[in-house]
Amino acid sequence: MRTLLYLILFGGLTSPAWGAANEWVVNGPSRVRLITPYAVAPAEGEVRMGVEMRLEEGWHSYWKNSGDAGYAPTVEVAGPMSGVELLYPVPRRFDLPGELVAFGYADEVLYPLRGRLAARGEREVRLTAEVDYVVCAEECIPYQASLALRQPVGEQAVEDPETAPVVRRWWGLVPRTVEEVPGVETSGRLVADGGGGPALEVRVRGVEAAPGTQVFFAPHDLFELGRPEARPVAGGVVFRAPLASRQAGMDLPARIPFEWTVTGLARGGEPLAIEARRQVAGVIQQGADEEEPTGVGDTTAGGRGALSVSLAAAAAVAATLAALYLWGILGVSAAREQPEGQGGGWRGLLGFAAAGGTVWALLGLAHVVHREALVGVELALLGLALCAWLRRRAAGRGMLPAALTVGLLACAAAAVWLAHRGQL
Amino acid sequence: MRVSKTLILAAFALALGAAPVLAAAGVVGEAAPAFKLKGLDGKTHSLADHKGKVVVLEWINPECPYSDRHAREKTMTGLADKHGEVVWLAINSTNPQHGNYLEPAEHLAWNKQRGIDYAVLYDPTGQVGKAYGAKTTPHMFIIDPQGKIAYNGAIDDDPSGRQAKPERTNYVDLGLVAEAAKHDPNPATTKPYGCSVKY
Repeated sequence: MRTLLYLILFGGLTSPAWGAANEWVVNGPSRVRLITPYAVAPAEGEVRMGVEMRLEEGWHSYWKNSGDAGYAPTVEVAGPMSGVELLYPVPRRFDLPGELVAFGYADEVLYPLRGRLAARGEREVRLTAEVDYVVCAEECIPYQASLALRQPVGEQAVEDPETAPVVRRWWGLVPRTVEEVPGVETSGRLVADGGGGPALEVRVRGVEAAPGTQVFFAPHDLFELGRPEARPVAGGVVFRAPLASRQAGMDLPARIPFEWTVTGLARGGEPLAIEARRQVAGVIQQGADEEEPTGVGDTTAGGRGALSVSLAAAAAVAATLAALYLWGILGVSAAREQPEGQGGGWRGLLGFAAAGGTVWALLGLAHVVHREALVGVELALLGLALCAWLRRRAAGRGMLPAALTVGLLACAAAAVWLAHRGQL
Repeated sequence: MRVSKTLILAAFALALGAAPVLAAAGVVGEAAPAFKLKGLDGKTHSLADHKGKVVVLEWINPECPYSDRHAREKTMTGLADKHGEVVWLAINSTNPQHGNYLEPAEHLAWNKQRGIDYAVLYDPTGQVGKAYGAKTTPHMFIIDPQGKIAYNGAIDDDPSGRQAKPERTNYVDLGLVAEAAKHDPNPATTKPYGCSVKY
């Protein structure tokens, strides 16, 4: 009897939309539904949910920058929720006839939604979402959908085993703000493009770039951004996208805001996508392919940058060795044969000049290698000096000086190698 | 040595910062690309014929739901009537190989059904569309009496068409009012929305 009562009660409640997802709303080649990961959602605090969309083959929907056509979806959520934010998973690029381009999703996508629920004391809440979106294949069709969900809430959140993995998977595809990812940096600058105009160069460091890595830009008021080209470099990737102004005779502003998303990266074997907003100086710098004002180089551009970084590191090593020699620390026998007072002052001064050369070379390196690499180079130089000093003290004690000579040479090699590895 | 070279090059790069910016197609402030296209009325229309007048170009595709919605809502015809002094030309750059391509008779039937009485020009090669950088249907341009592009962008600020017509900001209306008062349109560029032009 009781079972029957439950059946009647819940049979009535479960349809059409009770629990973690409502019924699909079918719109032509697309289906949409509101989905949450909760069997029971937390009555208070942040909740994650989404608008899930399935598309028939050949159709796509849009990212926050739709590209040349279409537009991004809008979602208006009503219910006891505040601060609702629509997020976008990593997009794909669709090349259309006429060199037009679209950014979005094929087959399926979940547009994540984040907000704060305030439903203390309630047992369930009614959430509604008005979704405006457009799907395109050969043609584009705008649609609207009214989605409604009765979501049980409680003190303790309970996951829904069916919907939670779906929601989690798409949430995992939302790019992370670069500031959230330690050790990853991104920067932008304007460089001269082959065609004579400027290009935006975006660098990402501290990541591994997979072959399919791509950059996507938010729409820009002043410029149209052309097709970006990616070049993997040691410890990161560099993109270059030509810029064309939307207005004639425009002077570059001092600072230009850009927003970009980079997909297809990896860090420590984990896939990674990042997004960043940056103010880029409105100054066109010479590109890395011609001359290099900041000494920025990469391994694919003929190794010119790599060579100059290695040369700078070698110069630092040579200057350090010269200083050590002149101070009488390096040469085992030279130091003993050098009596004090006979040109010792001059040698000391020259030694300081050589040490100055080391600092000079390190300053140069500071512009072209990672901070971590610079610290590594400095430690290697210190190790080199330590080996030289110990070697002098240990002179005449069996194999020790020979071992320290090997250490000294290893430190010198390490300094060059670290600089080479850590170049930007 | 290395550092001084760096400094010299950095200074050189700063000096280069004043280099001009390469312009895209359809740039506001530049001369509108000339064209000669055949219209549904059988006549050849040339931009040069309308020198001294404000010209509105509308990229159109009746098979595109955005063009069709604005036609149903009389967005374009209403504006053309309101600003009777301007020349309104619609251009259809659909590739004849594309499913959206309409034979002139079919297009004329649609025009009649939707009350479109302004000239519709065919650009089957897409050359004119590409010269202007037309991306969507609709994509709107205002050309000032001197033959310069004064506005490039969307018809209004409501891609989904959800707002009531009076609540929308119609950028072309704003631009034409500004042109009538001999001012530059503001905004002069917006992001056009709609279907992609079927090149």
